[in-house]
Amino acid sequence: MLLLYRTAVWLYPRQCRAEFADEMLDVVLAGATEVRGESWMNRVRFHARELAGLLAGAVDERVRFRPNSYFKLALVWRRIAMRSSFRFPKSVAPMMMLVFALVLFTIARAASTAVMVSSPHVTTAGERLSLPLSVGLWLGLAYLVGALVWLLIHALHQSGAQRLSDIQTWPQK
Amino acid sequence: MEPLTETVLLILLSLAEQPRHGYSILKDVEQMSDGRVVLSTGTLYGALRRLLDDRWIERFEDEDTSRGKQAYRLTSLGRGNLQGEVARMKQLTKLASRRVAREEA
Repeated sequence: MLLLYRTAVWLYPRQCRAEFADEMLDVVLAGATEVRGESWMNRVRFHARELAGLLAGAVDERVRFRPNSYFKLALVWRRIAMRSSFRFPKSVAPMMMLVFALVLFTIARAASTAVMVSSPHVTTAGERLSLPLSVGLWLGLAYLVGALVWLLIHALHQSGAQRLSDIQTWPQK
Repeated sequence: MEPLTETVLLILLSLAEQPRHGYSILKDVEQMSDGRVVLSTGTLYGALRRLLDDRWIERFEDEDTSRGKQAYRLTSLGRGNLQGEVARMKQLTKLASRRVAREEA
């Protein structure tokens, strides 16, 4: 885990790293020591939160160090991120990356299947018959992954409906 | 001055009481918000860096600890701005209470 944290801190701009890196690692390690005796769910939640926070912080600092570049457009993101009630859950970023990776993988698989079908002389009858099954399997797998991701988000109380219901519009007396 | 975000407000409130180290700020924010706001280290240091740039807080070497940790405290500018924000919130709360009471009557 320490290596992961060091890598995440290494992504910060050099000036920022020189000033804060040791301190940030100290804080992360102090937190990790504290959650060591807790349930695995709490430990996973802690490490996911810390890693996502460090990665988002690194991106944010990189944007700040290039105020005149096209990265400036991304500053709009901060307006959303800094409002804790309305920002997107941090888990969205890794989930979207996972979905993107699955899409790329499916496209690659589809391309290879298309080559096989367009050249039937190099495929067997069994392979041609398996195309609908293969498509069905991939669709089923994508659906299963989506359901698992939703279950995970729901278990972490981070689903859209849960976050919306948690918003406190006015302090309670 | 733009209204402060909840995260920044809680960090400033934590430092208003006494100077603190990074981890101590994290724990205090969590405690103040009854566990509702749990900051990650990345979020905390992003906010601290902005506050340092704006000179609302300052960093100093804490000589009380053997490891010579860096600690943070409010500057007079930061304390003044925090008081201004609290006054703004009080005024808003008073106005809202009045309006809501009138609506209920």
